Amino acid sequence: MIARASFLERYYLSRTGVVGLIILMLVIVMAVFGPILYPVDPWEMVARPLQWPSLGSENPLGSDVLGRDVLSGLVNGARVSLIIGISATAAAVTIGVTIGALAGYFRGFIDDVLMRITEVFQTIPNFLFVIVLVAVFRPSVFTISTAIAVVSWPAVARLVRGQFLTLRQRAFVESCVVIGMSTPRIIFTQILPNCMAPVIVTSSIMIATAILIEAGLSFLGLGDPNVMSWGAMIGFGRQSLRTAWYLTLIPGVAIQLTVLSISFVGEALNDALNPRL
Amino acid sequence: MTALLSCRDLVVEYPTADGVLRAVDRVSLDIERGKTFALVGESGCGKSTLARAIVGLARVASGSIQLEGEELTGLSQRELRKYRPAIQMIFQNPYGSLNPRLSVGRIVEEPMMVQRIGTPATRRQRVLDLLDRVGLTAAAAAQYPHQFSGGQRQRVAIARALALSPKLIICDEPVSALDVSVQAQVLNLLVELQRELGISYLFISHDLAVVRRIAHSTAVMYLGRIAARSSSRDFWKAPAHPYVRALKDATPSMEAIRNGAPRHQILEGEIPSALNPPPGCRFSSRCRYATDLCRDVEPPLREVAEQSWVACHLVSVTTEGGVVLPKAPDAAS
Amino acid sequence: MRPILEVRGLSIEAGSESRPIPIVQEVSFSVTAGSTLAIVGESGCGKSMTALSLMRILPEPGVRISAGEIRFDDEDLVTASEQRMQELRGNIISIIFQDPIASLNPIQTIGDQIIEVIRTHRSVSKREARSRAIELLRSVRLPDAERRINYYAHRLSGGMCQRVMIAMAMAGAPRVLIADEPTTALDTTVQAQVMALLRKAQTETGTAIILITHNLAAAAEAAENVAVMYAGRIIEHGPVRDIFLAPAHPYTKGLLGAIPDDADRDGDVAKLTEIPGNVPRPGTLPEGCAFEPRCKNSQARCRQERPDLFREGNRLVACFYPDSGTIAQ
Repeated sequence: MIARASFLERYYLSRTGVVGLIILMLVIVMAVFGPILYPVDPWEMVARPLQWPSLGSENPLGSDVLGRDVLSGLVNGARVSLIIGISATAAAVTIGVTIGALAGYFRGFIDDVLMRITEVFQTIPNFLFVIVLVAVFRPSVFTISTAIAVVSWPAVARLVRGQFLTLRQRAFVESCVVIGMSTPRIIFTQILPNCMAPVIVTSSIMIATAILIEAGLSFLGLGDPNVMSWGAMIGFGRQSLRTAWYLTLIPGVAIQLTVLSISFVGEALNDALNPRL
Repeated sequence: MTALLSCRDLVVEYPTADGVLRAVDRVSLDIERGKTFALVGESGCGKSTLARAIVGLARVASGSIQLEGEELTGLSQRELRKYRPAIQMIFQNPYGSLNPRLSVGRIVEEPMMVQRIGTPATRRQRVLDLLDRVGLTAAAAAQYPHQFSGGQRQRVAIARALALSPKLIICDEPVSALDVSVQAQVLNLLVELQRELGISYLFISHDLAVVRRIAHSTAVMYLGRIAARSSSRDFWKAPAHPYVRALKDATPSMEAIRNGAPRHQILEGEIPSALNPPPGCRFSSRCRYATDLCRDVEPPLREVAEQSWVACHLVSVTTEGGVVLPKAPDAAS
Repeated sequence: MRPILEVRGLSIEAGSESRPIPIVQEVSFSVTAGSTLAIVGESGCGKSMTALSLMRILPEPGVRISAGEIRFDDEDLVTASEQRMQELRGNIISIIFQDPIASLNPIQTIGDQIIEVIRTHRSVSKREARSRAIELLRSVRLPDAERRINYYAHRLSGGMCQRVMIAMAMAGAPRVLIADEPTTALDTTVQAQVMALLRKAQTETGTAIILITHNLAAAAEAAENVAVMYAGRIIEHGPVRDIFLAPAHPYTKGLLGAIPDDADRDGDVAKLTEIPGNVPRPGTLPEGCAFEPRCKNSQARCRQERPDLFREGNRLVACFYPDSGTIAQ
């Protein structure tokens, strides 16, 4: 067999993947270190309102309609986006993998019941359901993350179920039954590791989607009122769209770059994890 | 001497969309210690299902499977676990039978880990011994399946099957997916291991030629039943069962070419569905010699010569002890 | 008799143009009307690529013909235009593949597929094409052809699908039929049926058949001539009976000895001839003879020089030290 290039080598073959990774790293660095290096409170009214960005000044990216610093909002918003994106996805993946694995491995009655439940969650329009949940349970980072997880897990469950249905019949799984391996051990050590590749790829896209949903919620005023998020910034800038469009552009571009970079990374991961072209 | 493994009237069924399919219909066989029993047949004959039932991968509807006198059917998976070391399996597809994410060393060690045999150190040593036994280097232990060819992967599968020192290994078409020259390597290895370790094999194949080299006893299945079974070399030179004869004739053979054998008569028709087998002999719908008796009454397995059993009403024994098929209704046969 | 198809020095390579990997090298053979040539070898020897190249259906751009001629009548198919190849394909030169169920379109009835082939090459009405299709299905002994013509591929067994493939391939009365491992995926008794069908088609229409297979015994039964391939080259080439009864090349000898066959076995289970080692991967061939690392007879010359095909008696062998003791001169 031709020696396979390592995972990193394959990843670097994708130029968009590398670019995406760099941008994503920058966003993460900004989220982690930004508020420490630039300790301006995003809610504090520190300047005259509606000042345009001018890089040398005290407010390099300008100020919003209430005189809050835009750069500070950007930097703190990164944190919110990433926290919600990652935690919602982690929860969705955990639920989805569990349900998908059980349905796909045991099939029959268990599969039927779990799939009916999955279908119920899948057929409800995602965004509307999130709005309802958040409105009912009061908006906060926690409820938002949970709500997003609740609408996102069905996709993971279906994916994992499909993988389990296929892999379960493979000879290497049967050979584990023959040596007397217990069912939980088979699920965790044999099948699960072999289906993580598509799950990882889906997760990366899910993070992007979660960020977008959160931005949408905040834009509508349903986000956590205690944190400054990019979506909220766009919401605040809505009324001044004609004159101070930088208030919308800056967080908008931030969201777009983050989501795009995650998509690139997801695609590159897909190619790198699945070398069988 | 009692056989190592005995099946009596084994029945294995599958539910399908069109009804219950009896893949194995009252099959009995004995596998002796240290010998190879070959099971040959075309698709749908039930040979693979039978193998899977013996190893516990398929549920038995009725009948018995006894390992050294102990009954295996009706046991729960947990109770079955203690018999697992005795019966192991090698699969057909070398590209699907090894976990692609585990190293070869781990794959071979796994059975011992699961059965909690030895310590990590003793297991590691045994892995190296096993790899050496099957003709792979110690370096192979750190490598992954995708780095090996089909034949080498089958060797890994054999090493894994040997890990628990089994008494019986079920070989489900282990060489069918391999090139001819590699087949020879793997078959020779299996024979050698049998001589050294006294392991019995249940060897499943669709190729009569392959099994004739390594089997002590061979049975041919058709639609869930055994059509003929024999441990005699002479029997297989001219099998006295219409289907088995047709199967042998249909297998291209270098021997036939050397002898300048004329073109044989082709068996027409397709294998019928096992869902609704005819009441009499399963083969009657395609058999040149079929009579009304054949179509109505299922022929039992009769001993027609020493160590040879045939399920056919029409096979007769000549005065000299030879076994013959009847003349075909249309003269030339 | 003049050959219908003559291949001279055909070479196929893969990989990029700057760093090509040779898959098939300098392969030459020919086939005459009404006869069968078997190209025999194990996986990776290049036999399937050779077959695909004859119809110019190599998986381009990754794999391409790099040298040689494929002479059909007075044309060279290597340089023929794509349009000309489309006229020939499925019409004058046909091919059937290994997995018959996968070779048929799952969402078209088999009748529609045969009709499509017929109407691509001849302008006939749909009704005429349909009755011709039924005729073809009858000629391949598909039972109940008038009903089955409306079936979809998944309702037919492997053997029946292969018959449909043969019907489609014979629709244009081809002068050359390429059969790429046509029976490997089928049951033994069905294999015999399909091979008999090909023989019948050949006798009736005089089609030349090029049979690609790894099964030496099947090749011996079906063909008059055989070309044995190893690592992209033909290493023995000649009349099939002579070669298989008395192989000259050590590889051919090893292959034949590796076949489980009962002719020379008695007593307890005997040993099959092994060929130690593995087939070299394309692009990693040694200097000199490609088989040398695995050969029992290898000498110094074999390591330094690569043997061309030499004439030895009634065949060609690519070996400096063939086993000529067994060859009739």
